[in-house]
Amino acid sequence: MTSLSGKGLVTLTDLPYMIQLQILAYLDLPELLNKVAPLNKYFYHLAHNSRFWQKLDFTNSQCHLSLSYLRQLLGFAPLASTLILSRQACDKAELSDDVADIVGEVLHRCPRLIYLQLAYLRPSKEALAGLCIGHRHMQSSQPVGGHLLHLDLSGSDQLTPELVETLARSFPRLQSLCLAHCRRACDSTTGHLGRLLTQLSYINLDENTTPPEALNLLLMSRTDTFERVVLDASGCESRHLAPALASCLRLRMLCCDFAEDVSDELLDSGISQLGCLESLTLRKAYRISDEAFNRLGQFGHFPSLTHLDLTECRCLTDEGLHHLVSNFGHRLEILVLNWCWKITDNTVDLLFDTCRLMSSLSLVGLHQLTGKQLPLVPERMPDLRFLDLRNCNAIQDPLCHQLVAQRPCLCIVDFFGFIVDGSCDAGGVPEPESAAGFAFTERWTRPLRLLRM
Amino acid sequence: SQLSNQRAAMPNIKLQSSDNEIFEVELEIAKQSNTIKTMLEDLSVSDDSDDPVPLPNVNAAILKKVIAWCTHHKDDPPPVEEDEYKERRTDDIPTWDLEFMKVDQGTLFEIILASNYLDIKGLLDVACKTVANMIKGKSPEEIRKTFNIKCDFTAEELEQVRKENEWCEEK
Repeated sequence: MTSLSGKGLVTLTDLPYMIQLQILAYLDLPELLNKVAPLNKYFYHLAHNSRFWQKLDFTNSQCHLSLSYLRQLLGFAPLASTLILSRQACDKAELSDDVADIVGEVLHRCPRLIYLQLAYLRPSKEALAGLCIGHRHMQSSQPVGGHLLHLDLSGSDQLTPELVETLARSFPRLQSLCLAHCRRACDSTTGHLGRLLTQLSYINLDENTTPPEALNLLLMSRTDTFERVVLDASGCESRHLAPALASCLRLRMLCCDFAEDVSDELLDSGISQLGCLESLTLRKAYRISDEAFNRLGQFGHFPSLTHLDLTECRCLTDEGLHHLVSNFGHRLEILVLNWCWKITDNTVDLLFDTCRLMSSLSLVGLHQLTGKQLPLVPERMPDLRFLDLRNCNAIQDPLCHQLVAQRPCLCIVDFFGFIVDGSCDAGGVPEPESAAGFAFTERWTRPLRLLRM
Repeated sequence: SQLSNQRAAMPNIKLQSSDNEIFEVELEIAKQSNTIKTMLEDLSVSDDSDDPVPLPNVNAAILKKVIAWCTHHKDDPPPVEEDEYKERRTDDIPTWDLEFMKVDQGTLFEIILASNYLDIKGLLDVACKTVANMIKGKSPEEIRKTFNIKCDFTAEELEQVRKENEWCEEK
C-alpha cells in the first residue's frame, strides 16, 4: 500500500493524541474496553481516559461485582455523569452485599454525577449518611454532587425521614427522586420536600407510608413542576387528594397505587382535570364505581393518553370500560385490566375494533374471557408485543399456541404464568407489577443504556 | 441579481502545497478552512492578491482531496458545536463522503492530519468516524492487524486487562 504522500505511511499511532481521542469518542465504553484497551499499553491508556467514562451502567453486567472491583472501576470515572448500579435491574449480575457501601463514597469518586440509580442495594444508614454528608464536607471547595438531578434509592429500607431531608438539602437541584419501597423514609415531614426541591418534576413514593396530609402538602407545594408522580394512596381521602392532584396541571404520568380508600371524587374532580396525562395507573381503587369510570370515559379529555392501568379496579364493568375505550382506545399502547373480573368478551371485542396501536395488553384473571378474538391480533393489533393471559380460566391453550405460531415476535403469558413464546426469554417480560416504573424507566434509562441487552 | 453578480465575481485564491504545487480555489470554498480564513483576516492578505497562501503541512495529493471535499460541501450549513456528553453516531455518513473516504489508510490519516491543520471540522469529523467504523465490529487481534499495532502486553498482563473488562464483556 502506498500513500499519496511522499513520506512514509502515517499510521493510527502517529496521529496526535487529541485526534486519537476524537476517533475513540465514537466508540461506546464496552467497545473501548473490549477492543481498544487490549491492543497495547498505549491504547489501554487511551481507553481509560476519563472523558470516555461518563456513563456507567452495570445493568446486565456479566460478572461478579465486588466493592473493591467497583472502586477500581469508578477510579477511571471521575467525570462520570451517569451511574446505574441497581440490584433490581441487575438480576443477572451478582452484586456482592458489600457493594452497598459504595453508596457512601460514590459522590466523592464521581462528583459530577447527574443521574444516580442505586435501587435495591439496601445501603446502611452510615452509607446513606455518607451520600449527603460528603456534600457538606466539601462545601468549602467544589461542592460534591452539586450536579445531581436524578436520584433513585428504591428499596433503601434504612432511609429515614431525617436522611431524606438531608438529601434534599444536599441536592436542591434534584428533578427526580425515587423513594419507592423505602418503608421508613416518609413521615409528616415529607410534605416539606417540595419546598426544598424546587425543580422536582418526578417523585416516586410507591409503597411508602406517607401520611395523607404530607402527600397533599407535597403535591400542593410543587404544582408548578410535577410532571410524573407515583404515590401510595393508602389512607388517602379523595376530598383531599383530588384537589391536590387537580392542581398539578402539568402531570404527564400519574400512578396511584393502593387506592383502596379513594372514592369517585378522585376521578370526577381530580384526575379528570389532568389533560396532559400520557400515562394513568390506578390500582386497587376498589371503591371507585363503574359510573365514575363511565363519566371519565364520556367527558374526560386526555388527548395524549397512551398508557392506562386499572389493575384491581373491581367495580369496573363493560359499560365503564366501553366509554373509556371508545374515547381513548385508538391511542392506547399499553392497557392493563388485571383482576377487573367483571369484564367480558363484549368489551374485548371493542378493544380489538378500536385499539390498533396496542403494544402491551394485560388481562390477568379475567375468567369470563374466551379468547375468541385472539386470531384477530395480527390484523387488528399489528404492534402487539406482549399479552398477559394469566389466570384467564376460559381461554384455551391452543388459541395461544396458534397465535404465537402466527406471530413469533409476540410474547404471550399463559394461564400458569409460562411464556408461550419460545424465543422470548423470561427476563425480557415486562412484569405487570412494575408497570408503574415502566414509563419512568423507559424514558430515563433508554438513552443512557451502555450495555447491549 | 446583485447577489448572483457578486457570486460570479467571486474572487479566487491560490493555495500552495508543501511540494510547491499551486491550486486556484474559490475564496468561499477555501474559507471552509478556519486556518485559511484566519490567515486571510489576521494577516489582512488582500483578496485579490496574487500571492499564493503557503500550506507547508499539506502535500499536493492530499490538498487536492481536501479541495474536492470542500467543493462538494461548500453549501453545507456551518458545523454546530457538539455537546461533549452527546451520544455520537457513526452510521450517518453521507454516501458521497463514504465514497470519498474509500482511500488507503495512509491517505485517510493524512486527510485527518490535513483537516486538523486546516481546521475543517466537517472533514475531520467524517474522517474520524470512518476510522471508528474500521474499529467497530473487529476483534482486538483484527484491529492490530488492520492498523499494524504492536502488542507490548505480556500474556499475564493481557489476561489482567481481560479480567478488568469482564463486567462489560460482550456475549
